[in-house]
Amino acid sequence: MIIGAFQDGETGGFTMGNIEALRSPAALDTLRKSVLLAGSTALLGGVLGAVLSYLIVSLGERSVLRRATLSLAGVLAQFGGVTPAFARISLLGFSGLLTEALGGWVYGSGWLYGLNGLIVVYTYFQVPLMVIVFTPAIEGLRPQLREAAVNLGATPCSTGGWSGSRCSRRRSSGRCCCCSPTCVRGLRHGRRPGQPGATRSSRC
Amino acid sequence: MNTGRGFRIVRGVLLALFGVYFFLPLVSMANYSVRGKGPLEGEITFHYYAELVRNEDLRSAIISSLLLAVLTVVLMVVLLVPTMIWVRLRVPGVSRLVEFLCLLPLTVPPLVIVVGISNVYTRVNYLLGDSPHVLALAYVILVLPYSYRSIDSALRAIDVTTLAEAARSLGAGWLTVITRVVMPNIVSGVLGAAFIAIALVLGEYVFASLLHYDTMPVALAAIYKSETSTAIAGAFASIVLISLLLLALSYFNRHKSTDLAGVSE
Repeated sequence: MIIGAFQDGETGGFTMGNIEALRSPAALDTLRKSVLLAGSTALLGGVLGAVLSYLIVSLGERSVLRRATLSLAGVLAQFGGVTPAFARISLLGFSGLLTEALGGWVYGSGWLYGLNGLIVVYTYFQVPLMVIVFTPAIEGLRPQLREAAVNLGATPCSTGGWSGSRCSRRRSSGRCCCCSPTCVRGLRHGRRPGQPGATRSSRC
Repeated sequence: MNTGRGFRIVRGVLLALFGVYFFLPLVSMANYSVRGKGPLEGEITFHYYAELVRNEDLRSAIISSLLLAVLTVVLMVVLLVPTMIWVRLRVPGVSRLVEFLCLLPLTVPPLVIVVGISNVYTRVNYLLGDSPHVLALAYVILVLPYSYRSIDSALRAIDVTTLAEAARSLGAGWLTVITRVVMPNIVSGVLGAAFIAIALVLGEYVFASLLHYDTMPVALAAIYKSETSTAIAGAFASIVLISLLLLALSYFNRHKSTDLAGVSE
């Protein structure tokens, strides 16, 4: 790859032409759009994913809804590509469900086929990916943190937002805790002794 | 505090909103795939699901994708499980290195891997023939990060060293230790890794498309222009199938771990 990047396509000699070509307006514009897309979907996915995983963790371990969410998140996070595109087409395409329900203006305005539309589709697999990353981290949070914060007058909202983010950041930045309920279970095993009991009492 | 009334209401509303966001596209896919078009206008029909099997190209693509999924899972298990057990028992010093190597594919975009690997694949095709199944070699690398996490957490939950020493002192060889002592204890982790691998293989498009192999996503994207309903039916069917597999696994896991802990529900 490195050799190919500096090779002239026709003569095979050394050239910087390929690198120069990257500075063309078209290339720069696509790069700008990609960065914009990556940044906005990362932000949206991160925030929404954190909220959703906090919600499903608060449902308790045996909740069917929580299992279903985690399974679906595992699948949707892997199916980036063809499938979300099909989902968008069947929902908002020319004869899509929402287009027919709301009338033609959704499709007609065309905003879905620009950057905004892509952001909507990308969050469709970014949020599940973030749920998979965050859930083990939030499950591993020490419940004492929340109890302490609540004692000091914090609302559930600020507890989750402030102390939660400080702890889960450490875990989610260092490594990607991924995949499936299995991992979630495993990480739960890895917690410090004495914690599971405390969890139960604080949940009631 | 956590489950006060206000919190419950907010939680319910938010969960409902998330539900709408995630299920609306799925519902619309289901709706689109059973709605008759052309001569079948106005009918509810499973014609397009039948088409998945009837269409020659599509059928062979689906079969090769399923085979590819099986091959990837087998290769992954054969490579990763003994390696991880071995590292844990004999050379714990390199566990950081192994973890780093396994998580590396997560940070490199598939497009970059494909550009780099295409030269290697001309060689692979020359040696192994030009069937889509050779893609399994690349997919094993793609699924490594997910499989590693899953198997690692399963291994962490049991005391591998004691199990292995007990088996060894009773005269078991290393192969027996791995296949008959440790494996049964981490089977839920391995299954989790396997299902994620299946999901990845059935949804992967970039590799197959750029290396010119006909797998299911590639075939679905190819027929999308002419037979939209069939393509959407295929995509929907694969999502539902894998979701159900993962959901079943989460129940299987639960029973497994309560058994191990000796606590009945």
